Amino acid sequence: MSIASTIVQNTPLFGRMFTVDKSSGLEEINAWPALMIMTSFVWLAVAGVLGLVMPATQLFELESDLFYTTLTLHGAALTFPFTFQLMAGVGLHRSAGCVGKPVTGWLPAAAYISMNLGSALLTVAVLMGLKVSLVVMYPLPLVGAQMGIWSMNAVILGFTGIYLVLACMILFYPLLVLKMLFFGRKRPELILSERSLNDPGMLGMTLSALTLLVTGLPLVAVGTTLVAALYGIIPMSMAAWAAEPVVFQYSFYIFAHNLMEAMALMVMSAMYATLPLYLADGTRELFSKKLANTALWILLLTSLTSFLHHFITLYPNQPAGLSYWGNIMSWGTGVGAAISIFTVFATIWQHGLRPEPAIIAMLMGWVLYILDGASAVVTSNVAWSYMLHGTMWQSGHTMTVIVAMAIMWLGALYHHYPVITGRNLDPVLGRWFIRLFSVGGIGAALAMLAGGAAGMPRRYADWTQEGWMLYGNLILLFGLVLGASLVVYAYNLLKSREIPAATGERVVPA
Amino acid sequence: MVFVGVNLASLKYMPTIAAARAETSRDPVQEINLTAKSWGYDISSRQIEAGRPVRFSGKSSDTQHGFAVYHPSGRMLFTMMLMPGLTNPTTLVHTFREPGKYKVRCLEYCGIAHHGMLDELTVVARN
Repeated sequence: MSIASTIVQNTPLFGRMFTVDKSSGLEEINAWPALMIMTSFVWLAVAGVLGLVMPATQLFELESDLFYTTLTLHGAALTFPFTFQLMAGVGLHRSAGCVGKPVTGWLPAAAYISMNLGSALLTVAVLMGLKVSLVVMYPLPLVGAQMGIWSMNAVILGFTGIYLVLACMILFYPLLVLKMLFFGRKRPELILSERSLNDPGMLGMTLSALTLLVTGLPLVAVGTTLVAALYGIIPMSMAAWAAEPVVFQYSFYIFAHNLMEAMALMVMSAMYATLPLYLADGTRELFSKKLANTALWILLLTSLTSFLHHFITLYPNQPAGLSYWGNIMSWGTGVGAAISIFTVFATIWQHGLRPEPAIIAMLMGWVLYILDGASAVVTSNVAWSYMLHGTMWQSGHTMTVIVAMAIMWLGALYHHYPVITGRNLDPVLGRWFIRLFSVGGIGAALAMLAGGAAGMPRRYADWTQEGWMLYGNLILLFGLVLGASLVVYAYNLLKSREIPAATGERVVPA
Repeated sequence: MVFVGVNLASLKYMPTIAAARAETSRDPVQEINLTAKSWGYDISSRQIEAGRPVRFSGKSSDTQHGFAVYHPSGRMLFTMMLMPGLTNPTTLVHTFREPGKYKVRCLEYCGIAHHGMLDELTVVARN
């Protein structure tokens, strides 16, 4: 039995949700993905508790320190060890079943350990006082230590954690995907639904892995230099170039922005792969593979340099021409999105749809993703950026993209779950999850965007300064609905039932 | 059409355009220099004349900060990102139309007293 299967089996409560089916002969493609997905749910539970503490600090007028502690941990836990790890687990399972290669060896173990150990170290560092929000806000970690707000040990621990998380996202996970797609022997018994690289479902996966690897390399260079200096491996003077705020910030956003774009490419590819399986007439074909692939290429090419919109308000230190370029490229991603929206709707219009929870969850995520895209093009415009940058509008944008991806991957998981565990989920609970998640996700997004348009600052402990508490209460209300939907999803996993052996059919995922 | 229309229209809000307009205007530009540090601002002047262009030039002396100016009604007018370690200041030219008290806030998270990093500008009617 695989070590990953053993860990899942021996984990209390969460292990019951994801115990790997050993009778199907597919343990080699099921075990590591199951462990990653299970652990992502552990982090989701942690993030959920922290999400409740955040408004409680305001309600009971506790120290703002606690607000910023939970803000940092809630954001980091939801983005990295929950959403990214969920995507990695489901995505790896999908790739493995499409190319017939096992998810085994040291790479999945390295990806898993670096993500979770890194997240745990960052959590400890934040509890030791390091409150830097999920985007680090460099050079805040060093300045905080110089001012005596937190210790240098917390900085070193936090940087080590962040470095390990980045190692998973930039190196281990993309290398694992690329290794699986381009190297190794295909094993027919592991093929669930064979696909070529020309298939939109696989092309998006490949482009996404390459994007993470290529756009992350500058940050790896900067991060390695800084961590080496913090541990005394190289003198601080040798790390001076990497310690420059402008160097760190640009290399950080080249990656961080493209991380979101890579996750969008990945989730689009999952949609392209899954939608045909739920068409009413059984054709299993997209409206046009060429259009679907074109959308992926446009999204890739436009997104690479659109990160420049993060620095529009830094003028003239970022020249206006570069800002406008970032503006136009950001709007260009909308062209790719529009083509993919057309492809999805045309496919459904042409062939009809079987409205099962897996595909409906993915489509609701798609709706949220479109709503988020609209908010993104607004805030990336040179004129509007001056009035929205740093406000809750941007938190709304970031939260919505993560929430959209989360529901799409939860939909994809609903589809893959029977193969991984040999058990079925309850469709009634599945539909309740979708209803609650949609209301919570759309409501929270609109409340945050409205707060941002009213000037409500993001990452801000005091919402009473201009009567922003109205938006704060709405965000809390819809956040609770979102949380309730995830409780329903988890409950569905807990009470999943074994697929009757008599059917004898192999469930075929994407 | 929306793509082209919005992005062409937004060109006039580019900071370079506002700066060029201010240079060619009959009114001399009021220069305000500011330095942000955790958790406050050193501002060369907090009194501004309505209707006269103002060039804000800002720097940060420690970590990343913002300089966001809010209209007395609570609406945000603009924000600037102040990154430490840069040779040139971040600049923006803005013309205030109405007299009143304009709040200043930091919109780049800068630590445990970020929400307390506040200041105020007074815009007075022109003589």
